[in-house]
Amino acid sequence: MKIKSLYFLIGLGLLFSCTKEAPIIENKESILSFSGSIEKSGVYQWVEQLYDIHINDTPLSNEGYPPGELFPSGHLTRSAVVGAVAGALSDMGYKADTIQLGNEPHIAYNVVAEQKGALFPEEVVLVACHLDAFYGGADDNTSAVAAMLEIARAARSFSFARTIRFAAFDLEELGSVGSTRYIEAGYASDVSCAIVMDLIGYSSAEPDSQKDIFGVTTPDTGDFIFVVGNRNSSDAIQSIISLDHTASISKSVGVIAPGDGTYFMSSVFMRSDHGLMWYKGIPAIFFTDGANYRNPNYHKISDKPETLNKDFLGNNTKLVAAAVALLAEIQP
Amino acid sequence: MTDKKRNSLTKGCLFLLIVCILSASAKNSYSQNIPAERRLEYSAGFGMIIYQSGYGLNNSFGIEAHAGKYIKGPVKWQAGLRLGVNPVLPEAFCRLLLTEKFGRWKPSIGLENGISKRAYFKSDSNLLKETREAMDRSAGIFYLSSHSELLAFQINPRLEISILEIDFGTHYRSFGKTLRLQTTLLRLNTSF
Repeated sequence: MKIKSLYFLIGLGLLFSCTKEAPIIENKESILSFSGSIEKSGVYQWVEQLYDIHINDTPLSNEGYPPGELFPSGHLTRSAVVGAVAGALSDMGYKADTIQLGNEPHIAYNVVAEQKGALFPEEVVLVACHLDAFYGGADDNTSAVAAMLEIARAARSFSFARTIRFAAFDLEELGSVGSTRYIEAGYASDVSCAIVMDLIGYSSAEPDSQKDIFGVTTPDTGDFIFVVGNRNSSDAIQSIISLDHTASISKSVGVIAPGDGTYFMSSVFMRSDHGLMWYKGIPAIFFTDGANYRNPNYHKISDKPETLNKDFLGNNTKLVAAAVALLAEIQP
Repeated sequence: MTDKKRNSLTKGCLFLLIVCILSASAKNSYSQNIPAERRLEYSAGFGMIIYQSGYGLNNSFGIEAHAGKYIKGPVKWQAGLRLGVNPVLPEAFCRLLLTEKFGRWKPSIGLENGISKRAYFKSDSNLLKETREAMDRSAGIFYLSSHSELLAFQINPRLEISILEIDFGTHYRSFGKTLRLQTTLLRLNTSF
């Protein structure tokens, strides 16, 4: 009981309520135009396609990573998806690079492509997700890869002040290996803000379908997307949540982790590729449906496309697109 | 760390404590004539060190030994070494303390600066290993912590005992991102 009370108090400190005045968002029409150009059906088609690629791929060696509860290390795939994502970006007209980092048995293959900014090309907005998955990984993390590809497709028809860099990181499931090597190798030194997506397609209208996250009290019904930030990204979170609420793009709940978000008690919010970015002082925003705090199929063979909510996934992709347009300053 | 090394370290800790007790209880007319504020103090203690960063939490028992002397009035310095029992991860530190005496009660508070290898987590798990290492590299080796000896008592003119000392600190280069909590369960202090 005492532990629960402690968690509750911590939760109160973590849960963010928008007490500030609503931020003024410039160029809102263009942002919503970009968001509106996202095709929900296109996102789901990517999920089905990438899921099939994962489920038919050969799992990686799990040497050094013994299987555990919710960690089926012998069922991690990514090789074929690396090629599929790079190919898809190339087909859209991007110059897609596959950056190889580290050594055997776990070389990381990060797929990266850029759309150069029109005014401030040296300032980069990173749009990232991980491409490796246990089993087919429809929600974790094919949903986010699909969203990234759809946003990349839509971005070709628009102009942005800042450079948008799309990155599909490898081996997140083994401990953010791909993104850590990417950051440590200096590739993220020009990133002014990052958007990281990890599981964005599962929702449930059932009461009590959303569990509280490490003491943070959340709405009981798991039909919303978490937009998580820290001190460095709090203004951006305010703007994204405000944009979502005024334009009814999706259903979002904003969470600001205390300080830079890297304290031990709040490290549950670092559970993806943005964790080291927070630690290194790179502003980063994390979109998630809450993973195992909501999705009963988390890291299981049952994480299949048909368990996702197509409309929820589509709306979340639109919201992420709006965030990209906001941060990269879409041109009128 | 091998069992042999751990046993040696534990024996070393006990040896230091015994030396403190014996030297404090031995008659020494020379040191009896020196005012307390001019004597050099030696301490040995045993406690628990908890260290945490974003993805890691380590804790281990540790021993420490330090020397110290009054500088002026209630201000004194201390300098010493601290070793974890497992992992060893040595630390060197210096402190500046304010000490006051109320009968037998002799509380102190102050600041500790140190060099520590404790920012570098030891873990058998490969999961998040590279990320933890990247964070460790950011943390650096210099730390700052508060130090409080609120339950310190003068047993006789040459022997003090202190229990439940609390040190609470962080690394300079990752200020606030790492947390050090050290509880010295028992420390004996003698002076010459």
